[in-house]
Amino acid sequence: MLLEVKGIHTMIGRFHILQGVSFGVPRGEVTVLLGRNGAGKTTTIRSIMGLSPVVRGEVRFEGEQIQSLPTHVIARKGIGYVPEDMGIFGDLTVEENLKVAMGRDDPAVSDRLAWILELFPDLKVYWRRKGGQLSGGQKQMLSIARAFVQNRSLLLIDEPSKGLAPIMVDKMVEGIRQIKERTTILLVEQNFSMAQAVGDRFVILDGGRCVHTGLMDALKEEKELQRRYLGIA
Amino acid sequence: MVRQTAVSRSRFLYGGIVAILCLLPFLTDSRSTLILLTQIFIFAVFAMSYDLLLGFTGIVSFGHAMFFGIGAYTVGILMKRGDATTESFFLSVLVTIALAALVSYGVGMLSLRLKSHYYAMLTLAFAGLFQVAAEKWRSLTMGNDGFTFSVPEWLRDRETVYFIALFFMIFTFYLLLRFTRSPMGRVLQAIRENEQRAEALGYRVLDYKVAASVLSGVLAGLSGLLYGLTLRFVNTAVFSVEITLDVLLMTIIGGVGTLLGGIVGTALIELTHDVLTDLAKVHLLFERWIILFGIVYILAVLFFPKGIVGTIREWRSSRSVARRSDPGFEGEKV
Amino acid sequence: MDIAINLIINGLATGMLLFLLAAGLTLIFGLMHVLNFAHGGLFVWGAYAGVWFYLWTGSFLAGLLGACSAGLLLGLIMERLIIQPVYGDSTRQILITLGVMLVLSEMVKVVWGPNQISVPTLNLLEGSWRIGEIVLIKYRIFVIAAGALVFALLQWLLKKTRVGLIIRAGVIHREMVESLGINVKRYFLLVFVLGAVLAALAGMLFAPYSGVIYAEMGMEYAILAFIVVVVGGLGSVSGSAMAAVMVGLSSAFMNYFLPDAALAVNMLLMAAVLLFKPSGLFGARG
Repeated sequence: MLLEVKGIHTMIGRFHILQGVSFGVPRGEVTVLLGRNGAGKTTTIRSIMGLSPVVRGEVRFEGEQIQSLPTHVIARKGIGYVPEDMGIFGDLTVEENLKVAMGRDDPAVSDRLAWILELFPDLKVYWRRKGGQLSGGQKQMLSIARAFVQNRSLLLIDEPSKGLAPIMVDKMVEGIRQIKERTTILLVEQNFSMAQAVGDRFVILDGGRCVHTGLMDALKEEKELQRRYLGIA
Repeated sequence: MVRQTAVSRSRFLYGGIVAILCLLPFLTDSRSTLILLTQIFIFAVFAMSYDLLLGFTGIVSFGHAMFFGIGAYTVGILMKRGDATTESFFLSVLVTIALAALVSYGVGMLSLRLKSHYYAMLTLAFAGLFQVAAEKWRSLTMGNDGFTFSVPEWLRDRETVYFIALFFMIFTFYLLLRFTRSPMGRVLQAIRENEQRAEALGYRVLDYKVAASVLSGVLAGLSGLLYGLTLRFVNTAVFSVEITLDVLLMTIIGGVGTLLGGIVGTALIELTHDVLTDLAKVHLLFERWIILFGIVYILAVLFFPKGIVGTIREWRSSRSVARRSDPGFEGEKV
Repeated sequence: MDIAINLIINGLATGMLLFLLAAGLTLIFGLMHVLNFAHGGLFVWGAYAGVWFYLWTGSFLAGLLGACSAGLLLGLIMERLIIQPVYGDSTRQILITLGVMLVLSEMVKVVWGPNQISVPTLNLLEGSWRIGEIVLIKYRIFVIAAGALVFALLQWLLKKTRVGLIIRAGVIHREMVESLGINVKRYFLLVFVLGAVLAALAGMLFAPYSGVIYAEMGMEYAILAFIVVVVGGLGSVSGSAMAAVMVGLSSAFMNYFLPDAALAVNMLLMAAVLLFKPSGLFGARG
């Protein structure tokens, strides 16, 4: 297991959002975090990233405990984060957005940048455009590019297909398929068909707890589970 | 059973203290003691009104002196122009309430819907504006020098004013106690804890905040009115930033979010004021008491944010309540 | 006509000073989410420290350096001892910085006495140039030039250096910068001290401009700086620049025609912005 989440409890203010979430993310696969709105998916991702404080439980990455480390340290250990709102620096150009992520001159990083730009050629076209002027899909691409331009062994991606047109969703699926060759992904996705298209495993959250895990192929058959926890009739 | 005794014990204590305070004018001849206590009562109301904003609703205001000054100048101007009659007194009470309500409503609507920093900046700026206006509008306010004025016969007696101030303080304490325990008061506290959550729960947060600021402003204005009445003199110092610092100190040292803290803090600060003024005759350093107060204030915010009453309450509750195994997992699920 | 030009020059000079104050304030808020109510204290200490050096050595340059050093020192002490312990708690931040403001203002009185100190104009920049009917006071032009220079330097810092890039990104979305592996807190000290130095510099430049310095000027100009920052948009340096010019011009004109209403007009401007566009006239994010 690359990432192990063991019984984490997370509070937001007074509200007990995660009530003992446990699951594992195996190396080299795409694990999809599923569940209804408000089940705690985003909070789980944020807890792993150190953005929401974990009050009980453990998060282990490559065997090391990370739940009380500051966010930037967690990122440096090799976890990348693509938030739900994409976190694009609107006033900065695409180039500048990436530069923030890239740090000092490093041939490995430049190589990876070149590869990412092949994957998402739009970013090359709009290189000097301000982040805020990009379309939803392009912003999503930029956000993923930024998270991945440094070598990261785990990418946390929160609802990449949200608000995107079907064509863009397809591009996204293709992009994620390529990226998963190089890294492990923990994906939050409401869009079940996309989840099925890229996911190897699934984890279902409900009411702040993990209620089911397994192989994605198996979930496709389980209509009852789909209905109960994902609201899919 | 234990709780009952605790409640009736504190009621007995309060009752005792009030009784002593009522008897005091008859027990002592010291005029200065009476005056000092009157000041304490008046500023205690000022502090409690500030605590309503800061401690219960979580709003930081740097312009509370504004309302204080409005009250002081209103009574001064109306007494001077209206020949110091009882009618002038009641009129000045009404005008103070109206003006304070208007200003706090206006400033509140303008900036309470934004981040707390805006309200702090705006109130600071407005207080400054009022001070400048008081300086420049000489025809009305006699500028920096201020003016003295007389008051109706029945208000000239030190003891009468003492009792008015005392009962005003008790009334305000009781009023605010009931208010903060009422459903509306609880909403304000929820707003202080987590504004977005309160909004999500369906409360019109802005309305509640503005209401709190209006109540607070009116009480502050009335305390200013009483202040003017006891001094029979008013000048631009009532709008000064020192008054705001005073009330900040009183509230924080006494204990934010505990009405009693306002009273305790006020008593402490006023007594210290008094002592320092005497000491100033001895050594010049004590003249710069603002620095000492300022430093104490900074240290209090840094190390002692719960204040005296707050710390005592916390200490008591951790003693009497049995330890739970989990640290407060009593929240709601999302 | 020449009156108008004079007023415009005055307004621009005042605007530049306000910009120096506001730029630091807005950056500190944008990156650290701290509204530094003590900024006026840095202004007045810059003025007094700078003037003290100036009067002692007779050199204006020494005065400027003295002011900047005072700003540097005070900024360092403040950030480490006072701001850092209350990170994240905006209520305590606001409360504590006001306390520092008051202490700084009072300390000025303790060290230098409560009376105002008059400041002689420098020989080099004394007097004025005449262009036809128009009189251009040399010192004011100097202040405008100095302000423009600082603006240019700031823009260079922000747009052409990595430090500036991170600061700009941090102002927009701090969490995201952290998530990319960058320790934003390291930049807090830098930004705070930068703001402090700018404020102190503004104080020293102000001194010969107004001819006198006094302890209350800290609070007075702090209020104007807040107005500028609100009008320009919290977090935007270029917004502050434009708003500073606006407020500077309005002050200059009002002080000539209707001095009693000068502050009121500026506050009206602030109120209008808060009503209609709270993110500031030139502000980016809300």
